[in-house]
Amino acid sequence: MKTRRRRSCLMPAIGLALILSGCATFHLTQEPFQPKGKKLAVISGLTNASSLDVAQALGEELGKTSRFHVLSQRQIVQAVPDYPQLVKGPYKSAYFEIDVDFTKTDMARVKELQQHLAVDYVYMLWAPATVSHGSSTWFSKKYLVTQIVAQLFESPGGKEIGRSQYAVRVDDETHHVFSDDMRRVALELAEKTHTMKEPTSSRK
Amino acid sequence: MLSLRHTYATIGLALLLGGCGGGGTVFALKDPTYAVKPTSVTVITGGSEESDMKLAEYLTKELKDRTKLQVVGQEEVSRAIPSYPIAIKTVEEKNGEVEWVDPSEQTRLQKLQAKLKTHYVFVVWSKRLKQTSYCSSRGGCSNTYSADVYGNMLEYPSGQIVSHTAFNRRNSDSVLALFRSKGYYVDELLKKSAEDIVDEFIKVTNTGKSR
Repeated sequence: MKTRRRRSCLMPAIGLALILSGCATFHLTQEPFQPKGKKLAVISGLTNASSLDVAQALGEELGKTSRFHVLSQRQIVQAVPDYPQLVKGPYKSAYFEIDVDFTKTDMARVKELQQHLAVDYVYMLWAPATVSHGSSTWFSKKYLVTQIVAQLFESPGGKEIGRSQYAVRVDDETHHVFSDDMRRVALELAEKTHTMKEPTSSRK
Repeated sequence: MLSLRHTYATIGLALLLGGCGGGGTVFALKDPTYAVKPTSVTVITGGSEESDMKLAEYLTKELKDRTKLQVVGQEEVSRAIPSYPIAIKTVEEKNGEVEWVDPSEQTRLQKLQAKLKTHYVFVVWSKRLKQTSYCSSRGGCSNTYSADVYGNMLEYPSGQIVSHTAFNRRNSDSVLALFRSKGYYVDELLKKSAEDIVDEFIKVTNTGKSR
C-alpha cells in the first residue's frame, strides 16, 4: 500500500520529466497514414491565454518544420465566427494533471468548426492547466509547465487521425511557451504524418 | 505498533484538514442594509482555467437547487456569450482580503448582462490553486490542495457591486486517494466552496427555498 502511494506521488514528477525529455508527443490512431491534403488549422478548444498561445506557437512551428500549409490564427479568427470558443475537450478533469478521456470530445462542435475552415486537417488542442513547479532559490528556478491534450482530425468528416498529450515549459516572466519545446512537438507530428520538410542544403 | 500509530495519526490529520476551511468572507453584502430581491441571477466565471469554470458550474447548481432565484445554466451562458469564459480583471485590496471587479470591466459586464438579462450577475474566480505534497520518510505521501475563492455579485441595470466573497479553502487527500479519479479532491474543494457560499447567501439574503 505504502509503495503504491509513494509511486502515485512520484508518477507526475517522473511523467513530467519524461514528457519534457523525449517521450512521444503524438501518435497516429489510423495507420498506415498518408496525407490526403496539405491544409491544416491548429484550433484552440479553450478561450484561456495558455491554449491560444500554444495554438499560435505550434502553428508557427508546424509551418516551419512540415509541408502542411498552416492557417494563421488571424485567418482562423476571420473564418470561424466567435473564435475562440469553448469546445468540450477529451478529459474528465484538468487541475494539476489532465485526466484524459478521448471519448469526451464534443464532436458536434468539432465538425461545426470544420465547416468554416476549408482545410484538410484540424489539430484541436486544449491547454487547461498551467502548473508551477519548484520554487525560486539561489540554486533553482521556479518554472511553469502547460499541459496539453490534442487530437488531429481529418476534414471534412471529423475522422480522428492522431492523438497527443504532452507538456511544454512556459517562461515565468513573459508567459510564452518555450519555442524549443514547441518545435519538438511540431517535428514529431510532421515526422509521423510523413510531412517533414526536406532539409535545405546550405552546402554547395 | 508504531506503524499503526503513525497510520492513525496520518488519517487523523487528513480528516482534520479534509474540507477544512481557511479564513475569509464567504458571502457578505457590501451594504448590510441592501435587500437582495428573489429575482434572477447568472453566475459567470471571471477566470478561464478549469477550476474557475467548475466553480461557476457548482455555484450555479447550488443556487438553482436551494434558492428562490431563477438561475441561468452555464450552457445557456456559453450559448449567449460564444467567447465565454472570458477573463475579468480584478482589483485587490488589503493584500487579497477583498477583490473587486476592476471598474474598467464594467462596460464589458454590462454587455454580457444585456445578453443574459438577469437582475444579478455573480462573478466568481478561483485563484492560486495549489498542491502541496508531503512525503514521509517512512514511505507514503499525502497531498493538500488549496484555492482562493473570490466573488462579486452585481445588480443591474445599475451595475453596482452588492456583495463580496474572499476566502481560502483546503482539502487533503485520504487513504482512499488510490481509488479516486485524478481531480476528485479539487472537485470536492470547489463543490464545498460553492455550498458554503450558498449557505451564507441564504442566511444573508433570506432567499432560501422553503422545504
